[in-house]
Amino acid sequence: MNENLPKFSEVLAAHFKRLKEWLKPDPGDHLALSIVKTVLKSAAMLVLLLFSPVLLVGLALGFIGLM
Amino acid sequence: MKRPLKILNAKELKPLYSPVFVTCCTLFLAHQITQRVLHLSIPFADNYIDNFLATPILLTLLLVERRTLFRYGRDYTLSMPEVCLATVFIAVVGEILFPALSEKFTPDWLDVPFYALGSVLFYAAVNKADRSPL
Repeated sequence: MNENLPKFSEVLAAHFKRLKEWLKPDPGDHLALSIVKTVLKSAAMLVLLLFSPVLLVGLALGFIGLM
Repeated sequence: MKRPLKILNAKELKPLYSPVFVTCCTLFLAHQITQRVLHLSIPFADNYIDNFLATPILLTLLLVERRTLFRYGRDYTLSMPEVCLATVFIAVVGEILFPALSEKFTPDWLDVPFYALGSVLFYAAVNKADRSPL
């Protein structure tokens, strides 16, 4: 089972790489598609920020420390 | 063969040695000591200095996290929308979530400009791509 794990992570990384390439703005994109890309990028940015380990730990320490 | 995990690269940790980050951490610690250990009251500092220092400290740590854990490299900088979003997130947590969870926190909307000022300081002084030779 462990032998399959690196393969799965490689597949996942390849998918993410393709998604990242697709998200890049292309002058030939239709307006609706560029709006979808912008919304997806904003959502990704929001998720990365809200679940950032450093921010969560920093704010939790602030809450505990200042309580 | 497993690839070695290169997390700690001194070049990517450079923001942690920036004078602004070191000064902010020192001021934060000094204020905590004067307030909690020495019980000295400096009203303006007690009200706003923690808010002002929170954003440059947290955003610098976020930048280092992205450069090391996410392996974005030492050229990576946080974009303006990311800095604004992080500032809003920190302000919302500090002024809405914390007071809702504990009575020891009091919401004060005058803190928000201080969070924003701290972010401006971070953006102007710390958030820079490292283009020095390897």
